Amino acid sequence: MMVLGLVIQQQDTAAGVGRRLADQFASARFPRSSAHNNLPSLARQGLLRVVEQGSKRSLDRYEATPQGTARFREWLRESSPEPPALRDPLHAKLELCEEEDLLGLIEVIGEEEKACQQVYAAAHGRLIARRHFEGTRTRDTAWAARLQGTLITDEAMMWGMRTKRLQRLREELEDIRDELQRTRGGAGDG
Amino acid sequence: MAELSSLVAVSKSYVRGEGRLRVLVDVSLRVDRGEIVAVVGSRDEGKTTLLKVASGIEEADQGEVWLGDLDLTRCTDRERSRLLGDEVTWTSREGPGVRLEVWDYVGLPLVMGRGRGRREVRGRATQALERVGVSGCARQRWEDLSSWERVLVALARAIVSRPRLMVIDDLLDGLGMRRTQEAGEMLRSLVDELGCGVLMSASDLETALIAERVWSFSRGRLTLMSDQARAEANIIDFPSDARQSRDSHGAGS
Repeated sequence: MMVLGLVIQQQDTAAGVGRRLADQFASARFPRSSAHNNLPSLARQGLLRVVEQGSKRSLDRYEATPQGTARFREWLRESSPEPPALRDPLHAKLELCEEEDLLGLIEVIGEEEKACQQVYAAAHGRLIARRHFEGTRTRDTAWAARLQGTLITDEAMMWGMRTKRLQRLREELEDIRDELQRTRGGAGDG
Repeated sequence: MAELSSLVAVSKSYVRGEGRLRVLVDVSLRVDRGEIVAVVGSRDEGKTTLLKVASGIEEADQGEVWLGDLDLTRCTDRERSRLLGDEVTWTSREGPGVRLEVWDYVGLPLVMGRGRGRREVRGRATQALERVGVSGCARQRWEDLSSWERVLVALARAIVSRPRLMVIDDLLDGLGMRRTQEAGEMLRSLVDELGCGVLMSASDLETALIAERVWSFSRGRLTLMSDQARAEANIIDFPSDARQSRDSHGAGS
């Protein structure tokens, strides 16, 4: 749907859509092949059409059909009564680990925490940079600018919360490790 | 940017029963002129203690606390109370605690032991209230204000003495995205206008995004989450007479 949405925003080639996917949805880390695979598939479904044939397939330029635009708007308004499935490998690791894995897990969580903190800092940086351009808004673009600000804030908060959650998990595991060491030390003394 | 306030390897604990509760553990932090620094953490973790130590309200057990070139750990109580109000303002959502009209509450930092007359104090308080857009609240009481008006009145109190350092304790939490953004813009314009620095605490991450530098506070320790001041300036400028101890502890790193 993101590929379809990007082509609705503007006609584009697979290479162009691929670049915009990477820019606008950086955190999603879509594979390079996403645009190349999805554009022809969406065209086969009648949701896109080729408006300009390139020298090779990756240079074909696509636009959305009225059916594609309608399908996209329908998707925007779709809601799900269920929360999304939560498949966090860390949950599985915590559920299935043994005592001997504890030290390794503390390290793994610490590394993930650092990675999330860096993404948080990057989103925070974009937010600060955006504030410098606040004055350049026109009335027509004000709503879009505000939406963009909301989106970056949301992204920063998501990564910030993830960082804090990992910090808390790591600290809890460190407490368990210390408690185990104390118990062992006490048992040894006796 | 010039260094305004710094904590170097600060520790503090309180006696609890037979043991001691460690609230600050080897904390180092700095605030530069023109900068907003946020410390984000859960309630009751010790953020307020950190802010009180930075502003000279409470003493550290160990470490150094600087306001510019002044070592707060070597100041007398009298010197510290003079600084608090003139050079450093402390503000939170708690309000005056007694029934005061807003302009008298806002003017409090100008009053304590400074021999200023009521007319002068109220005049400056009115100017501060005008600056943040709530001069209409001057004759009201804290209890009668909306939560947003309280935030603005607290900011007026923070700027009334044109301090070098504003210390803001959990004032901006839970305002919602729009109001948080407004408060952030207001705070930024006040900092630019006064050339001061801000050290603020926050329980929610949204509030912390106002700041250029965000620290996570947990179990008495600080972890740097984001440093956009450094990203912008690229280099943090230590004063040429930087003290040896600061270098060795890497304050603000």
